[in-house]
Amino acid sequence: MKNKHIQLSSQVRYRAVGEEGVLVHLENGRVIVVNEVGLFIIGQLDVPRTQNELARAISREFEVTEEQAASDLELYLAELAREQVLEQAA
Amino acid sequence: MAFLGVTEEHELAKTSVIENFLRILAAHCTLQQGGLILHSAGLVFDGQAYIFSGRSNAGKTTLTRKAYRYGARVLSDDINLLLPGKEGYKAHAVPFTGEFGRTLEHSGGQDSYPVAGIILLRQGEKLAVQSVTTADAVAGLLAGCPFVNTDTVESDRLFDAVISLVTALPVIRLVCTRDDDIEDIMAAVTTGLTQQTHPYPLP
Repeated sequence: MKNKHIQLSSQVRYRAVGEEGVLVHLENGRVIVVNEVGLFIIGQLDVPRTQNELARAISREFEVTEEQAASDLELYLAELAREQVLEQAA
Repeated sequence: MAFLGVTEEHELAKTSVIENFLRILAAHCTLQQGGLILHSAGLVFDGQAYIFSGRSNAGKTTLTRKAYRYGARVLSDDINLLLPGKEGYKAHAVPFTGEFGRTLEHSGGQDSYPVAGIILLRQGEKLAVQSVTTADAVAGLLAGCPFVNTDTVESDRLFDAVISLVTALPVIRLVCTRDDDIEDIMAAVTTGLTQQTHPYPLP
């Protein structure tokens, strides 16, 4: 699972607004606000990434251990998945 | 170019079909001019338009009724058109209304009014004005832009228009109950907007 490539859904558009991010789901019009870390993750998912790649990127950007990043990331990605923001890369 | 399609020919005679088509057309045309059609109640006090944006059942029509009795002009209790201009944003009267209807045409109003601010309306247990972050303001307005916020082609233009609006106008959140007095509501709103006089910095 952690080695599968995921990416931002083709039905989602986002924009950085200050340090936060605003996402719109084009299928249902639902709007989501994400914080700085969330915005970084969303930006990373413009292209397909594995969870391990994402955890490494977060670790480098925010100076946390890769283990901590991986643990928090798992919960965060589950939340994004519930919002239908993510899709499996082909 | 716009097309109106119906599955049954007799549906063309329904005013609701024509009105819905015009609402969608107006939303796209407004966006092309850098403006927005916003799901909101537009209320005019002292020559300035206060735009109360909120989802269905947020209390827009209830608020509109109270404001009308209090002497406000009503642009619409459902859909309002905001356009940028040399003198800032103006709220324009449109023939799209909800349950309340529009009173502007029979009360001697102007075609448009300068916008005092945007109020994100929410029902709650106690009257309160809350400040919102720039992102929350953008999100609140995006959610209130019918028709175009689910359009792939218009997505970039919509983000640009909403961010421009939030950059130019104060945005606050109003929490109120259905029983709150309109005088108390407007006192809270005008104070809240005054304290938010410095619009958000450009993101």
